[in-house]
Amino acid sequence: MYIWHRAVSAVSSRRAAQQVRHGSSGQNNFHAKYGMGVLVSGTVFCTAVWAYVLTQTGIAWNLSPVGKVMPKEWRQAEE
Amino acid sequence: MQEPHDVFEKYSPELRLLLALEPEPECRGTEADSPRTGPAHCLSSCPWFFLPPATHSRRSWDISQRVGAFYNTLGLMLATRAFSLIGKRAISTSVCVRGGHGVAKVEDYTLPAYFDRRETPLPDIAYVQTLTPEQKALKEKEKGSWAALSNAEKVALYHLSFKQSFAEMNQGTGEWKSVVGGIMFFVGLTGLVVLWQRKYVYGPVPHTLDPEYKQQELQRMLDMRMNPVEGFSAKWDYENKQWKK
Repeated sequence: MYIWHRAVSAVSSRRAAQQVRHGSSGQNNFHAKYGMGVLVSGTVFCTAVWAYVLTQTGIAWNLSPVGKVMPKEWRQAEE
Repeated sequence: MQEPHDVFEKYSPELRLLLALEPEPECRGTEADSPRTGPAHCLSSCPWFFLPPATHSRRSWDISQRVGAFYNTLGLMLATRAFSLIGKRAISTSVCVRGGHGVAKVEDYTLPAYFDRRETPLPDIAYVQTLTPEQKALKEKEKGSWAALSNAEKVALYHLSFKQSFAEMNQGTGEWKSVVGGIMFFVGLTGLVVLWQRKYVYGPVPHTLDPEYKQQELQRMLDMRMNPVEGFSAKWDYENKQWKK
């Protein structure tokens, strides 16, 4: 076990010594510069608009009353 | 100390580099100088039977002579995968006279083009067609022992033949971020459309959806024992008058 650990540490240290610092070599196109901004702003816009539409516009969704609504007597006294 | 081969990590597969730098072997000609082409020169390491009879074994980087030989090999070369360092793209568009008949003007799109693709690691032509004097000197040095080339020189030779390394051509673009962001934006626009519809298209909400009405409706449904086995009324605890937990 000890010998295995020693071998593993030797290999990993040699690999670390071989690593080269390349700097930023990714592509510098539209997606690299603005992609994350487009993604985040689009998602925020979408969730904001739909959250407002679903809750604040008065659209009737008629969700199930189970667990939410308490019944109320409906029979009217006969006159 | 950095090992040499790490510099070329992103240029792998090494085969592309190795093949591109392979010195051209002597070509075999079958005839003496032909009066049509003059002192033509061997263009590549193609098999000799792909070459016209007039090519010879003397190698040359001279462009005008390559152009002359090119027209003779036009039909053959288009079907041939050339492994040479300098391609055979013609830069002259004048009509070439051959055998008393004119040859049609060569269109640019008909010539072999350079592509950086993982599936075709060795493009039909080299990337750099016209060499500067420094580059020509480097090519001459390449004919000697490769061990004498520094890493920077090897990389420069690579970039004479190829434009991008495999690491560069395979890297992702991040295009998905723009795509998904665009999707979300247009879905958001759809939400605005629904908003407008609610204001200007939908009619008033029926009174049957008032909260009080729904409460009474609920009581009536429970009184009728709607779906008492597994459905609606089964969820209501009639003993304690509350919803089942």
